[in-house]
Parts: sequence; structure tokens; C-alpha cells
Amino acid sequence: MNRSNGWRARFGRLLGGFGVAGGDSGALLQTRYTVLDAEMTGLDPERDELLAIGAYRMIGARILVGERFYSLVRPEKDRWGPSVPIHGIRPVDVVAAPPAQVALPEFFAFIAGTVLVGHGVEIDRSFLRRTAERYGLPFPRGLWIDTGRVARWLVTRHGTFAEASADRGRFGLEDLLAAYEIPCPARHHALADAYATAQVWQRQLYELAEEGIQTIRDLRLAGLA
Amino acid sequence: MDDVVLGSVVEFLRRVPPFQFLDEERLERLTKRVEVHYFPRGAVLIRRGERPPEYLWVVVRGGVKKVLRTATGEEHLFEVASEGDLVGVLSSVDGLEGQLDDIAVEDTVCYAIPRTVVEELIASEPAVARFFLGALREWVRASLTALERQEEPTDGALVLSAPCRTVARYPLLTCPLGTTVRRAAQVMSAERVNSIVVVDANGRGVGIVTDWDLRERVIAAGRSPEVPVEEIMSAPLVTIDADRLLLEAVRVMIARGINHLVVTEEGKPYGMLTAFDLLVRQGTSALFLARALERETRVERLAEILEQAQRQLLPFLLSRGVRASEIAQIVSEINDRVIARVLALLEQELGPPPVPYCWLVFGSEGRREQTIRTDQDNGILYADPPAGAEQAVRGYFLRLGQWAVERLVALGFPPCPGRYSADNPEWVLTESEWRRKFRAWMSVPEPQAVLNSLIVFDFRGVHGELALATELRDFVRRELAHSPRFLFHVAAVSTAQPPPLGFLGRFVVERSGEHRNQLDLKLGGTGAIVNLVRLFALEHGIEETNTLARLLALRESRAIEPALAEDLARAFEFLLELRLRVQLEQLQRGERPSNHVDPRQLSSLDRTLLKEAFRVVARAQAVVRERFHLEQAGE
Repeated sequence: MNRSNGWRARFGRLLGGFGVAGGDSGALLQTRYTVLDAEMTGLDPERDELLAIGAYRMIGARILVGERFYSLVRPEKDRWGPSVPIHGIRPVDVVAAPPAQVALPEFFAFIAGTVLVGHGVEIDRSFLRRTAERYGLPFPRGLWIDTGRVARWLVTRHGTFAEASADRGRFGLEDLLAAYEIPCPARHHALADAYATAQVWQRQLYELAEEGIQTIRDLRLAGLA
Repeated sequence: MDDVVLGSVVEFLRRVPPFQFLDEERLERLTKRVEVHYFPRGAVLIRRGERPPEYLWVVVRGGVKKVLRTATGEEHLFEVASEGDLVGVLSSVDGLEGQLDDIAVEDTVCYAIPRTVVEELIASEPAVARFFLGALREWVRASLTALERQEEPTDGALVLSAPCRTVARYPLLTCPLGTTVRRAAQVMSAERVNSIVVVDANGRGVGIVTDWDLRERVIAAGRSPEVPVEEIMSAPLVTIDADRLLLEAVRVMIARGINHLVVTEEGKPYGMLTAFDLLVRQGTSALFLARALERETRVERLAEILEQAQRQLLPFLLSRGVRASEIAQIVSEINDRVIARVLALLEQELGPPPVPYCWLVFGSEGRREQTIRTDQDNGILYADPPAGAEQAVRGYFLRLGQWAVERLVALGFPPCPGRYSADNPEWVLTESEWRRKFRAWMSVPEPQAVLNSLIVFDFRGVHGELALATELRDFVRRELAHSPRFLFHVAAVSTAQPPPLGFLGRFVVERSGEHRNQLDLKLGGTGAIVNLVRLFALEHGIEETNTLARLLALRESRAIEPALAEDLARAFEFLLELRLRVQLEQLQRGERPSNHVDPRQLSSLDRTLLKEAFRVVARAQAVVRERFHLEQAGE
């Protein structure tokens, strides 16, 4: 069956080489998270570049308003795709911003020892990983949780990445914010989106607990991390 | 600020007492230590008897009920904290263990402020400390009691309608630009003040240095005390002219989120007004406003003060968590005094009244439930004149009624469209005539007449010989005992309007017209409760006219089920507050206040509570119908 193949494979891989502060049996409501969102010049990690990273620290379901990371990133190439109208970051906004080789190490220091959470986080992750590789920076190992997939799982009780992608229309951040009645001070701003995502994760933590998913291990068994 | 999130939290807290008393920087620093917490419906924030929580919570969305569970498992609801309300005050301030169970009644988002941060705030900000000590509410209550006892205020009678110069502290300590921080601190210390204003060569204020600036921007920041004051001062200076009213000063402080306001005279700094000075006494000053009115002789000044009371004082009190019913009491104290003042001035113009009289108010004024001024409902009751003098005496009171109503209209009390006012000869009557009128209503009841007379049954004497009103009340009570048919009609009228709740507890809104998609908070809400409670009060000979006071009396005399009395009181208080909030918003938008609201525009908590309130109304109406063997309305 496709479904079990999906999560068994992931499960095995994750069990293989994985080390996160708090450990495998760490309770979700005690774990330290970094909830992040990145803005890019486009959607292709090979050709496009990071423009902004925003992130909030959560301890369990508590969002720490003052413990956040935000940086604009100056891209190397002058490749400004059609994404500008979405995030509103213009070339002039990033001329004084640090380049990726400065911003990324700072961000990696911020996320050290935390579980990473994002909405459709796979794309943020591949950009971060690709950028790190490009500059020869070590890419920190860690556990990544996609709130989009969690949302889908909560509805359907199963959720591989492919299924989640196919269903993206239903579980977009916008849809979740509307469903949970979470107002967002400014959409498509990395920091504001990270904050909105953190609030989604906050609610999902409780909903997962109701489904008996209370530890990192439970989450992995469900194929959600 | 690149941090839109922090900005939005600051914006929120800026409107929430006591954080609104903090200056901008302090508020921002506080915000950085805030956490966002989420509680699904049913989650427990604080459990009675358990160790105090580590946080003080501000409800951002949702609601938290504060309940006490008795040994028998009965639940007493104290209040429901909703948007902008605090949860955990006692614990975070006094480190007390949980006093009540605090439970989320729906999915709730809170800003959580760690207890250590709250403790620091209390230690460093007197206004915050005062707020937490919960003194405000006590002040309002204590002063209401004091007013009832007709005691003179002893604390110097700070009145918010007074000009700023009357309470500003002066002379003001100033220093020129270029003064070293060390020198400024020495002067402050010598003068025992906690702020100094920095002035330029022309004597104009450019900034202010407070204890806080010294602590945070010099000592904590490791700056040399030899730097000039301009490097550490807070600028620009927020000022207010000495002739502006204190109410205005309060408004500026709230809007700007500041604690110090420099009072200027012709643009030059003159004195200092602190939030502390104002806030610690603001609760009582609402009432001393009434005293100021009593002394005021110019009618146009009365209008101005009243306008201010409505526009600024009401929202101000409401935002401080003063109950709508308490606000209504304050408003009726103020209105009563205006009426008394107007009549006293007229008595001087027309000459003394030929016989004793009493000015009566009916309806919401009679019940002390008026907040936003609505129609005037009033009349005159005068002692039976000596034989032969009837015409002359009547002429005097008809003129008094006519003029008084005109003056009150000029002061912003709208005229009564139904003509239930003293400029209508029908409501200017002698004692005997009033008795005949009440007797006619009660002995040959006829539905329309009963409906029309009901608001008059809530009469209350305001000015003149109050004993006349008391005697009339006694008469009505005695007559009612022999008028069961009248009570039956009152019961029919009081249950005729069901609350706007339909199938499955959905709101029933109007389908067309000016109030399309809206529902009436009065018709099936506050008005329905007033009618029901009046019925109970008339039936059981209770003399009170105020709905909550009637309920209390009914409960104490066990005339109605205590649980029902309690639910009605709570529903009434909620509806009254909701209506006041809606009307203040309408006023602020420049609209005419109405009783209509679109339920979709309410918060989800308000919607939930509104349904609860309507259910209570429906239940009470069912009780009455059963008791008087009435048919279900509309069937």
C-alpha cells in the first residue's frame, strides 16, 4: 500500500540518523520549536534565492513574542521574478541587507537544538539547504514539521508529502488562518507569516494531543515529522 | 518598525488598562517579554486552591469564565473575561493561590505576561500598582454610597471638568538644553520630584527627563552622567494648555499612552500633570462632576459639561471595567442634578412655587438605567391647591413644565415623541388627579392603556417635595393589591415580545428596512426584562424602580426563584453593557445611537452570551405565562 510505504520509508530514514534536543520521547508540549517562514525571489531552489527569513521561538504551545529572528537577505543575482508583488520586497530594500553567508549562520544559531515548524516547510527547507551548500555552510540536522501536512492529517488521518501537495489548495495557510479565526497583521511578510504559522501550530498541538499524539515519537509514527 | 507582530501586540496592549498607562518604550519592552498562549474550550487557566500561575493573562480573543464550585458541585459564575480583560490578577499581584476556577468558555487566545514582569511593573509604576490594587471599582462604589449619604467630598474634590491649571503641580522644574545629566539629577533630587522639563533658549519645552530615563538610559546603558540632557530626554514633549479641561488631559494621556503631561500657558511650560494624580482620583471625580453641575449657573456651561460626560466619561469608565449598571447610576446622578439645577433656576425666574411640588421622571430615567441620553419622560406632581386657587396654581406648573422641558431639550435631552413629558398638561397633575389616573389604569384595564401607562409606573421623584412621590408610590401599592385584572394585563403585555431567538437558538434578525440583518437589543432584551421585573415588583409590592434593585428585593423576599432572579440580573447587566458599547461606537462614528445591532459584527463571545441572555428572557416569560395562564405569544 502506498500509504504505509510512504511513512514506513520516512520512519526508517528518520530513525537512522536523528538527534534533537529533548529526544525521541520528548513531549510535544515541552519541546522547543522554531516556527519559520522564508521569502524567495522565486520557487526554484536551484535558480532562485532567499530574500527574507522570519522565525519565532515556541516552547510547547507558548509563543515567545520577543524571541524572534528576522533578517532580509541580499541575493547575489539580480533575478527578481513575479514574486515581488507577493512579498513586496524590492531590490532597493535589500541593498543594505546582509548576504546569505552572513544571515544564514545567524539563523542557524537561532534554530540550534529546536524542532523546525513551517507551513509547506519543505520549500523553505530546500532553499535553506541549497543556500547552505552553495556557501559551504554546515546545514544543521533537525526535525521538520509541516503544519500543512498536520492539518491534512487531522482531517484525513494520513498524510504523505505527495498527498499534502496535491491537497495544497485545501490546506493553504490562508485557509487554516480562516478556519482557526487567526487574524494576521500582514500576510506574506516572513515574520508575520511565521507568527501566523506559530498560532496554527499552537492549535494543532492541542488537536494532535486529542488524537493521542503527544510526543515526537508519536508524530513520527504518524508520518508527520 | 520592521516587526509588525510586536507592533500589533503593542497596539493591543496600549488599549488595555493598566498597560495603557505605560509610556511607549516601557510598553514595548514589556511586549518583548509577552508570550502568546492558546486555550481550547474547556481548558483550565487557573484552578482554585492550586499554586499561583506564572502568568497574568490578557484575553485577546475568546472568553474565560471565573467560577466558584461549591461542595455540592454547584457552579457560581462570577464573570466572564473577554477581549481586553485580565485573568489571574489576584495571583500575579499578591501571589495568592487560585481563588476561583478560570476556564476557557471557547477557544481562547491570550497574551501572557510572566509574573516577574508584572511584579517589576508594580514596583516601578504607581499607576499600574493602583490599578492592580483594584481600588478603582471600590472608589466608584464607595463614592456612590457617600453620595447617597450626602457627604461632602473630603479629598479636595477633583473634578474632571475643571481646567488643568487647577490641579497641575507647579512651579515646574526646568533646565536649559546643554545641562549635564548629573546636574539635572541633582536638581530633581533636591526638589524631590521625578521629572524635569528641558527648555530651549526661548523657554519652550523640548523634552522631559524622568527617573525612568535616568535609570534606563544612563545607569543601565552605562552612559556618563556628564552627557547633556538632550541625549537622554524623552522628546517631543506632550503638552496641554492650562485652560483645557482635565477630561481632555485624560483623553490625551490615554491616546498617547503617557504618564506625564506638561501643562503650558501661552506655549510655555507651567506645571506638571501626572496620570497618577488623575487616575487615583478619577473614579470619584465622575461623581464630583455632578457636584460641579450643581454649582454651575450658566446653562450653556451645563450643556458643555454634559456633552463631555457623554462623549468621554462614559467610554472611559466602560474601558475601566465599571459595570454598565454602575455607569447608569453615575449618569442618573448627573442628570438628576442637571434637572434639579434647571428647576432651581426656573423657580428663581417664575417665583417660588405656590404649593409644594415634585418633579417626576418616568421610564429609564425613573429606573436609573439611562446611559446615552434618550427621550425625556417626566411630569409634575403638586399638592392639592386651596379652593379657588386651582387655576392660578395650575397655570404656574404648566408654565414650569413647559419651560423646564424646553431648557432640557436645549441641554441635549431629546424631547419625548410620545409626549410623556411635563410640557404636556396630561402629566402635570395634582395629587388627587394623579391618584385618579392610576386608579383608572388599574381598575378598568384595557390593553393599550396598560401598555401606555407602564413607563409611568416607574416614576421617581427627582426635585422638590420628594415626599409627594413617596406617598403616591404607597397609594399605587395599596391599589394594586385589589387589582388582579390589571396585573393580568401587565403580564400579557410583558410577555408579548419574545426574544429574537429562533429555531435551534439562531438569532432572528430583521429581513428588510433600515435595520436589515440587525436585531433589537431592547425590544426582546433589556425592555423585556424591565417589563418582566416590573410585573414581579408590582405584584409583590416592591417600591424600587431600578431593575437590578427590584430583582435583589424580589430575591431577598423569595418572591421569585433565586436562580431566576440571578440569571435575569446577569442577563440584564450583560444586555445593558452590550447596548452601551454598541451605542458608544455609533456615537463615535457620528451616527445616532440605536438599539439595533448586527449579531455578525459581535465577537463570538458576545454572541454566545447574547444567546444565553435571550434564553433567560424566554425562560422568564414562560414562567409568567404559566403563572397567569396566558397563551404563547404569536401562536
